[in-house]
Amino acid sequence: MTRERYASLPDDVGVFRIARVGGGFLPDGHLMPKPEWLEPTKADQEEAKQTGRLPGTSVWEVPGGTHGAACWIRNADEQSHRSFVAKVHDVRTVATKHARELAVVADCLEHPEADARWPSLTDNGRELVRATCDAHALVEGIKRPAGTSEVAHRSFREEVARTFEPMPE
Amino acid sequence: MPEFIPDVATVAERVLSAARRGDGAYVEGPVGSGRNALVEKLRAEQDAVIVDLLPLEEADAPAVAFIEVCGHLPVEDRPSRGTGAEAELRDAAVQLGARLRDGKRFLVLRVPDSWKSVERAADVENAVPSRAAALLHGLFAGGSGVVLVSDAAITAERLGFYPRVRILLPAHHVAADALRAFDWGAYHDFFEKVARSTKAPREASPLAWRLAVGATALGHDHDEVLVALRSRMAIPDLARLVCDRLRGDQAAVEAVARFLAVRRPMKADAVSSLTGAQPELLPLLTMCIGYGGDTVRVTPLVRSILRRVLGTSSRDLSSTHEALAGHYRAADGALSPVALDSQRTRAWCEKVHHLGHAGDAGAAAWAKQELPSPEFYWDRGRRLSITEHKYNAAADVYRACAVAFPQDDYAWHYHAWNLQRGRGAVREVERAYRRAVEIAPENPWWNARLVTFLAVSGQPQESRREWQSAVERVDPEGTQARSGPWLSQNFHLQVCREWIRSGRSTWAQEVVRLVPLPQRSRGPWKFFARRISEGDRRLVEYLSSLERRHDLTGTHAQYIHRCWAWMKASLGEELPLPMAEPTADGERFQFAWSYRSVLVEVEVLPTGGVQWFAKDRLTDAAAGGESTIGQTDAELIAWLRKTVDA
Repeated sequence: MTRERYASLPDDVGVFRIARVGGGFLPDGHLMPKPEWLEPTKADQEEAKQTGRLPGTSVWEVPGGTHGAACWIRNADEQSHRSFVAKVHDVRTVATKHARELAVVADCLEHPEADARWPSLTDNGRELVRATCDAHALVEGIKRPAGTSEVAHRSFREEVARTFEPMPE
Repeated sequence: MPEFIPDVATVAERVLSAARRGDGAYVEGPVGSGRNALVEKLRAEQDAVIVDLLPLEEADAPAVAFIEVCGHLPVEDRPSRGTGAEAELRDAAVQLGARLRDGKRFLVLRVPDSWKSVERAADVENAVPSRAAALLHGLFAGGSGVVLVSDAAITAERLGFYPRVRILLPAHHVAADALRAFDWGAYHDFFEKVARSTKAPREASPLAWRLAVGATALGHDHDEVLVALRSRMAIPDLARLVCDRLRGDQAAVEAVARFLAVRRPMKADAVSSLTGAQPELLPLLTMCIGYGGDTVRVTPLVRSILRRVLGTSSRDLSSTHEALAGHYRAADGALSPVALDSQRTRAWCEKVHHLGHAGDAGAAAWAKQELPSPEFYWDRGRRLSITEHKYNAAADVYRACAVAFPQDDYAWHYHAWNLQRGRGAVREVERAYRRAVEIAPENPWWNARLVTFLAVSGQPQESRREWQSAVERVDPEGTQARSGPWLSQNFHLQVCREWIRSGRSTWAQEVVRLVPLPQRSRGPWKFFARRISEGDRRLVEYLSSLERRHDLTGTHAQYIHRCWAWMKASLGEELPLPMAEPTADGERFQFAWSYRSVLVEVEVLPTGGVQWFAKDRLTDAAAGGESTIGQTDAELIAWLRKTVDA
């Protein structure tokens, strides 16, 4: 389903976040995802400056998006990335508890039909990529706002991370 | 054709006489020695209950055998469905044997060579041999006469079977002429080529001749075929030659795979439609790999070699299984085998197996069947997990099994394992592993999986506690570990490996100490010893490559190095390895320890400053601060110590 840009996602859907596992030093045994992985990247912050909105962390709505298609869109190796999924309702609940302004909004991407890799996709693959582009969304408000202490911010971020679980295959 | 089929009349007499006295008889012989002829002769006896056991590669083999025997008894005499416990299966099998005895009947079990694995059933993770052993123990103890016709040298006593009569059938070799009267069809010339060759042996087993004709027809080097035909291991050697040639022809491999998917003898005129084989390939299936005239069968040995070498079990044969399910459904017409006679029982078992392997097309019909034994679930669960890699679907099947048979530790364990692979709910995975251990506390695999799962899911201290309990459950005195390398390979090794991966070298060292010294000097233990002694070498190597990997300045990289060295010096070797990488904005570098009980983040700034945050996840208490490298920060050190005990 294509949503209007920045339309608020309903509470009962899920969103997943892709994380690169293997970019740094990641021994077994740690609870994933790391809270840090939910922070908007530099590029996200740049984009926010242009749109005038809060920096958004890139996520994908489920049902709708798939890990494989999201990796394809990001040109990321599927095997070295892992996805973690949370219910929008749970993320919002944490934000409310911490009195943080947080929004989970639609941010559909253009279908990458001009991508040089597009012709090599099967019909089914193209359908998945289109659906996943339509499922792209942003979690706005995770970046620490001015005036919020580091401890309060990180405590909030840690709780948001705990709402995410490894995405079932 | 008397010269072709061995004369087994005398053997049959001896066996019948023993079985009717309620004694045991054991008959063993190589392929072609007349075991089939013997079984067919016994089949004609009214008081004989004949069961052709499926190879143990088939997960449902013990269950099929059990309910096939049931199919020979009046419905009221059949045992009711149990909870899935192995002891129950044995008791029910004793009951079956007793009913046969009371009815003055005897049991003939045709045993494929794969059943030899029941002798070491306790040493394999696979529960199928263990169930098979329980079944046989029970049947032998029931008191009826039992005839074991075996393809392999089984040490009957290890199964509690003490036969009064033992017969070793000699190899039965024939001249090629004995097979000339068969209708070789398109393979007639190839048969003649083999039969007339001056280098061919004077006599060989009929199956060896057949396979030699097949390998020749497929274009294999004729001399090589004849060498194989003369070898002492002619049948496996020739079967491999057939595989060699087939591998280059995908369509032929597909046809053979479909042919081998049929587990029971099949009508010769159905082979073409079922396998989709081209007419020129049909003689290979019906005359060489298979044999038998109107009804074609495949020797378990040949089936097993072909499946393994050609990898047929991993192919997508869903449509073949769907067709076979349809065929058997017409023959049984029931959802439950409870009231079926022996013929329809067999059809029902085959239907369930093929539905279970028919992919999505068979799923709904499979789910409707009333499955009387855990193995039927395992059969489908394995297909989904091992062949199709659909771990969550497999987890669902094992869960359904565990619900139906709550004492089935195998189902609980594989429910957990598949759910873990499918990244399912962590709590459910842990609960199911714990349940498996509760039911079978001495099982080394279930224990090792629970311990390693706790380690990978961010519960290191719980993992360590569970390991200490597991050692108590599995090998409290270390007796088993000292008696040989088996336990350390299947228990200690798994835990040691995971703790090394989780950066808990000192704990891994404790596991190593439980392994007797002579074993430690071999194989993976030497490798582990090196990994343990390396400590944080991999992390230090990574930190040495930061400038190249992450575009950090040399000064920043030096601060990061120093920060790690300082934390390590403050906490010692016990400090577990952290996750380490730049932050999302790329400006700082973060060390993080994230466990279910505690989170500690230590970030190194480009200026050399350190910013840290820590949270007790059980109480939600949080703290943070700023510091400089090398400066004693008692609060941070206290939090880091919590990661040691996390």
